[in-house]
Amino acid sequence: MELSPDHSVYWQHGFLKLNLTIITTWVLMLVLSAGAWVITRRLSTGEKVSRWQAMLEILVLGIRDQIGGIGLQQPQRYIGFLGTLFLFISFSNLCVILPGYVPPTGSLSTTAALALCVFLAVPLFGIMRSGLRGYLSTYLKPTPFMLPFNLIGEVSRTLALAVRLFGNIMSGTVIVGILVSITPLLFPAVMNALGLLTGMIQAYIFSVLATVYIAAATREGGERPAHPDQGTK
Amino acid sequence: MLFDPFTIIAQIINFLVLVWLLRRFLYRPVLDAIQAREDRIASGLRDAAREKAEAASERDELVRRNAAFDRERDVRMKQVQADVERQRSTWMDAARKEHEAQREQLRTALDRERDEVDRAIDGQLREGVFALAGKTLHDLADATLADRMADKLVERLVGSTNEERARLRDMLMKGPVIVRSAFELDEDHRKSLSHAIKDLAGATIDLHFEVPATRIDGIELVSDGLKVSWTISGYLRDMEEQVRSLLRKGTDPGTDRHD
Repeated sequence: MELSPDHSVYWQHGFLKLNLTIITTWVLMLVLSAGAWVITRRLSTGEKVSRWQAMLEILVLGIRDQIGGIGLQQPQRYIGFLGTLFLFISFSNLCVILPGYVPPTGSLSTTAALALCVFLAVPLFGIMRSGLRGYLSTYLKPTPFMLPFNLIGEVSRTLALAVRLFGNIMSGTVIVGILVSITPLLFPAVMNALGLLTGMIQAYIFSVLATVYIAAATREGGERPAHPDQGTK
Repeated sequence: MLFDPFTIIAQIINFLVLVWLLRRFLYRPVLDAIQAREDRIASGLRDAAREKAEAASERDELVRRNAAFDRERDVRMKQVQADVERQRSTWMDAARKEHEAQREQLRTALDRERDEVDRAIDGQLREGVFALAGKTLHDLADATLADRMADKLVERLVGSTNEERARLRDMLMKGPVIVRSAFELDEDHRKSLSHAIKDLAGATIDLHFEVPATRIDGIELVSDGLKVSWTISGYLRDMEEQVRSLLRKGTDPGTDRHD
């Protein structure tokens, strides 16, 4: 049994390869982008809107309000990155109800890639907000002696982001795979439903943590957060 | 190996492409549409607020105009009422004056008519008295009224006081003396009258006897604007007073009603 869809390689030429993770990601990107394009082609600015537009507006406004509620002053600046994180992870996890589907978030490479994106986005937004000197000075707070611990914390939380998402999604897929081979009828369906819930929660947790990191980095004169991911699964 | 470096790089690129795609096809259009709707609603609310303010302003203006109109109407009404009252008073005064004039005119006409009636009655009465007195004298004393009037004048001349005599004498000496009587005097009475005047004056006085066209109510001696007479006017005045009293009783109630 394979633990990661990375191992399902369909084509390889030296370092380049085309595995299931990348292909699935492309399909998901295509569906998300095409769906968004189809729905947003004819948006109405009047009082009467279509159901699909209403759904998208609820989704986008919900994401924007969540970002604003966590503490980011201008949610429109961050909704592209954070909203895409949530939509990609949640849509990727929701599709587990499709037979034979293996979510790309079950690949540690994917989760690591997303965590690296967050890892890079946090200082990027921080520098955009406070400038390079202002951002770097946050690593010396409360005292310069905390610099190594701050750096370790930065790396460790990125690793925690990646492993948390990978572990939860991969374990769900593996558990369902094992249960299908043992008790092929009722129990795997229940676990699949549970996997849906877990996937949505993980998407939410990943996005919220990324938002919190960015909010902490962009808070003017603020202190570094004391690892808000402590206590999560 | 759980980590695949190429897959990590590919997924990072995939994710960044997806961020761009969703930003291009999802977030921006939806947020723009929401913003446009919010702007339109805000604009509508602003317009509504402005229109509400304008409506309130127009309402205030209307209320102010109504109040001004009411005030002006009251002023005009009072002015019109004053004009009407003044005009009514003017017309009433004019009507009253006209009424007074007409009443005065009526009263004058009535007085004139009464005077005419009085004169007519007076004349009739005098004629009647003369006729009655003459007839009575003729029937009872076998004398005429002319004789008796002449006798009476002679008696009066003869019986006058010294002071009266002196004045009569002066009067007789001033010029021609005319004897006017209601009836033609006979010769005897003319002579007796001449003797009485001669005695009084102490000289012969030229007398002219005449019966005037307008009847006089007795006999009179006229010289130089002075006159001595015996008339029945006293009797006639008493009778006239009684007649007037009777007439007044007949006419006054009606006159009172007009007043």
